[in-house]
Amino acid sequence: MISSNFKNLHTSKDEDDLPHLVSMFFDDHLSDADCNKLQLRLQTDPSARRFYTQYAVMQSHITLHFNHGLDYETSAKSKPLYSKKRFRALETMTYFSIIGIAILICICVFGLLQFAQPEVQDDSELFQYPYIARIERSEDVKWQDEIDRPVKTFLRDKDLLSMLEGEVEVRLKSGTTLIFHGPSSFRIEEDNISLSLGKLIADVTKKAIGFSVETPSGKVVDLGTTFSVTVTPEKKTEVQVFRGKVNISIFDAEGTEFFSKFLFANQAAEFEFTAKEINDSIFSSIDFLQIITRDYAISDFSENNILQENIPDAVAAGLFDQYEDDHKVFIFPEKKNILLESDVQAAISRPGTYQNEREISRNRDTIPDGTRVDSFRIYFNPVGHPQNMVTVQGKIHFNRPVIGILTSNEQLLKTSSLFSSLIVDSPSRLTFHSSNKTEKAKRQHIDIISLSDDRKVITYKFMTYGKYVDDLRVLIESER
Amino acid sequence: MTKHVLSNEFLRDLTQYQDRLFAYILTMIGNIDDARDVLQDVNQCILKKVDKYNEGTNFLAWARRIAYFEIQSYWRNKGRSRFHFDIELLEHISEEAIEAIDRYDERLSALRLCIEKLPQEKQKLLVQRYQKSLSINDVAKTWNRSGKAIVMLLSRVRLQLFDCIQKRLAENNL
Repeated sequence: MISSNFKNLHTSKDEDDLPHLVSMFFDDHLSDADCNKLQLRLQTDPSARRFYTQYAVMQSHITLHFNHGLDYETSAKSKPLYSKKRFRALETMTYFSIIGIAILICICVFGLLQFAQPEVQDDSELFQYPYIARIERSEDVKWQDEIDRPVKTFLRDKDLLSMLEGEVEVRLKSGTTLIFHGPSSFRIEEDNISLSLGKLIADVTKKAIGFSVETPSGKVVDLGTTFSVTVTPEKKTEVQVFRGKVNISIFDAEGTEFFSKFLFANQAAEFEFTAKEINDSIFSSIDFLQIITRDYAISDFSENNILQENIPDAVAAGLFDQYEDDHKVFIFPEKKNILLESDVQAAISRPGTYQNEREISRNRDTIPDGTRVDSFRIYFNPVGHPQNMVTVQGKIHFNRPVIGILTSNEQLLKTSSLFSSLIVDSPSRLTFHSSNKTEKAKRQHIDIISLSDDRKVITYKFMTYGKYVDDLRVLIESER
Repeated sequence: MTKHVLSNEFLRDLTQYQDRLFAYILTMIGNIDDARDVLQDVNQCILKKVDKYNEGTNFLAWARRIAYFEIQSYWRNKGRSRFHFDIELLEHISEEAIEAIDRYDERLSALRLCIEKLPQEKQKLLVQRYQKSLSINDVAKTWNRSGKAIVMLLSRVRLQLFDCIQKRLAENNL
């Protein structure tokens, strides 16, 4: 056993000053006499050499451990690729030597010098083992170990991290984005996260398919997707899939897999720590707001909204009794950056509150041709009994101004050929929007739609019977 | 200069073993900044000698040999410094280092657990010294203590970590 080799050092620690000499050596605080003493000891005592070596390896480990971010961009005090002394020496080298070495290194090794460069195009070139990830965003994060990890801090392979609070976005070498919400505890590896507590949202790049998240009793394997995993303090695991699909496995106490299932986009599942099966649960897209904001012109929405990327054909065609839910209002992104080649009539385009058919569904405004727009469908179809009114309300925040809300069947039908992928791809496809209720509110005055002064927030209150749907198309300014 | 196409395996090995090479070099040099510089020299040398490397053989052993000669060169250039590793001592330390680095991952995992167990004050001291790279005197100022006291404190903390690591390694061996 290794430790027994140092028995003499440890049992006679009071007399043996070797540990202190070695420590001072690494702090460059040895006196001349101490230098001689240490040197003599190392030359003559194999046990001292072994102690020194293992101590030195520990010293390198501590150095690497505390330099999560060999962040040469932000910290002048962090260790640069070359020491200051070496930089001075480099200045004296000939121009051609430097260029020659630089070319050699640039051509041959992807990234060996990238630490010293503030801007790089390919993220993977930033990372040099054991650094496999980098903090890209950090909001009000409190780390349990109280170590400061600012944006651009590099994280090491197998780093074990605990957040007390806040939100941190980490980018792996593969380009995969991970967003952790505190409180959370996790261990980070290039293709695997062990999540023992908290919420993780993963947006996995194609080249990282197979990336996995391990929880106390299961494992989620990515199959090209965006998904979230939450581990509660009771060790229950919840999985939500926004995009693509994952495979979930659960394990027994011995770590043997005994059940697995696939989970697809807009599905959710959960399993207890000691579960023997995986149960379906209710999907919510609110976990993926950061991803949605990145990919669409939406900055926030109420929890009762579900942003679903692929609009089902039946809904796109305006068929009745599809996607029925008494509590959820779906947001379906449609075509982006469409140039209007003729004027489009819109029911609502100015700030204000509109609350009856006369106010909501008339063609009061025109969006002129030549305008570029992104389109979203807002869809509420309650299960509710035909005689019972169902009410739902919420908000959708866009990050660019709304330039028109289309509410009538006529408006929807006329514009589907421009904005609906289904109709654009299959122009002969018949569409109805026959069940749209907003028109039928003529005598009932039962929907309220508001557009904020900056035209970026739509507030809605839909009150409808089970036999109707609320179906809107929202057009917003395209990104310039 | 002859261009040699680097295989993915070679690049993977080169990047993967950087920390082990650093540990090996630091063991025989003792100064972190100098060890970083030597590591860069070693990397350049490895790239120049890539055509001499036989794919599939032990990359780390091959790279370590290159590092060993760079370290010798470092000490030669150091000339008459107060502390000096002569050839014989370098050979001895190199043998020991190879053995210690064989359990690199195990040691690293043990270290992390041991650091977590340290009281906050001691962790703070390590952060100042290793993460913020404060000099002994700068650390001493923040603690309102003498440099000598900080050197002693660091020595105790490191020895505590060392003992903890040895204990964990020994437990793993049982």
